[in-house]
Amino acid sequence: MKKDFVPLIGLSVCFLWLSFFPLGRSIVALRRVAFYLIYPAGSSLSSVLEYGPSLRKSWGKLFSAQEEVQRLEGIVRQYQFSNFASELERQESVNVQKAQGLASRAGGEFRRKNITFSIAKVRYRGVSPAQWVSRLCVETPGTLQENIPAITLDAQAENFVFLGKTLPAASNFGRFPCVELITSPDFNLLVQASDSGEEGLLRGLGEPRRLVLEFLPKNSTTQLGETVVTSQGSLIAPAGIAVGRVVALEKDRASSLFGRAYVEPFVDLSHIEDVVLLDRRNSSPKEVAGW
Amino acid sequence: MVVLRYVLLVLLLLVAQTVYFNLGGAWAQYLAPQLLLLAAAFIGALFGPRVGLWAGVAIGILEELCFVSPQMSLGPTPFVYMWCAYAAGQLFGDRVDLESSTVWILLSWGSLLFAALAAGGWILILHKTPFYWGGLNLRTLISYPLQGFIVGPLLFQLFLRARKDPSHE
Repeated sequence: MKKDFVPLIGLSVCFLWLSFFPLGRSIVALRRVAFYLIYPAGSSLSSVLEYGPSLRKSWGKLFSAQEEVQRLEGIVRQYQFSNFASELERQESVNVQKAQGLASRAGGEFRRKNITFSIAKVRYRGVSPAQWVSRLCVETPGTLQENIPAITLDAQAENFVFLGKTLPAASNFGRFPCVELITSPDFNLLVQASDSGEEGLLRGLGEPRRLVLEFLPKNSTTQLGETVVTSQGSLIAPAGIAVGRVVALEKDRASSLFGRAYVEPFVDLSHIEDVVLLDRRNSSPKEVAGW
Repeated sequence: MVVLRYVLLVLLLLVAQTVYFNLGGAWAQYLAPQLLLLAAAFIGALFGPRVGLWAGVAIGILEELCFVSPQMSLGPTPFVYMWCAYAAGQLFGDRVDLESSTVWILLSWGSLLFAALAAGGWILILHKTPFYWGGLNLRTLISYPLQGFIVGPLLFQLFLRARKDPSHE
């Protein structure tokens, strides 16, 4: 017993001393890479990416190449975003001219809304099936107002598509503001079929690839494959942003008062990296209600 | 030869644990077995505190080097494994009926909780996670009864059989 006591205390002191002795960044990085290879999980990958650039020589080059690719992707995204912004600006100026004409005829005053665009990176998503289709949380410098529309880039169509709206601060989980996705069962949005021009209320079903479009006219002329865009009357989003494509039409029933269709959203829930927020923080509260 | 048998057993567990973590997918997140910690505790219980102490040190260092934990320094893992195996030897060595299933379960459960409490203390004092296996969260704690009742007795059978094998006596 006494013989064991000496190595026990000696080794304890030795190990504790080692514990408080920090390792070099490159050694920590190598250990984290090895740990990721043994235990490939999201947390171990993020720790590799955190320490990866401190590795020297070929490993360092690998990580710096990855950073370069990300930088170039960011430039491409910025370019696409600026194109979209200018298109939105053009559409809005047309709307403004119409509104100014209407306001002057009515003897009123029209003030243009002050909109700021910001790109936010997605930090984390809901992990349960219900949360996965309902919300994602983005990194922004401050808090966000409720009901700010969020759009994202559709990689295939190379176009911006509607994603969702920001949630009130009380509904956030974690420390970043969250966006309620269009696929959430709690989400409602006024939309318009692009060809027939019919308006309806789009609602999430909690499914990643299907939304329901309700309150269409009873004898709806909306066709399969028609694109659905945000409506002029929407309080949440500016008009004309692509939302999805009609994939099924419900048969007209004698008992139903309205037509109904099913829409496949353009947004791919498995590939959302950046979110563009159309922020109206600089507008007055009166202007914030609606676009 | 006797020592070699246990070294091989520990290496086998290391490989099994690595393969399971790599291929287990979501299962590895929910039920992460701490085979090497249990092995150290069993060796302590079977051969007494002195052997347990050195086995704990050896297995802890092996895990630090092979099963690289992502913390900033070396040391916490052998420290905890050493104390765990030593305490198992002090409590169980030559004092209890080692063939009783209650002892297997108590031993594996006790060593897991000991390590979890050590990790918890480490987090409270230093505000960082010391070992990949010691995170005191609900998921880990829920897996302890499963490890105590299933993994622990299976491992104990393996070690007890290796000890009882007459070929090396």
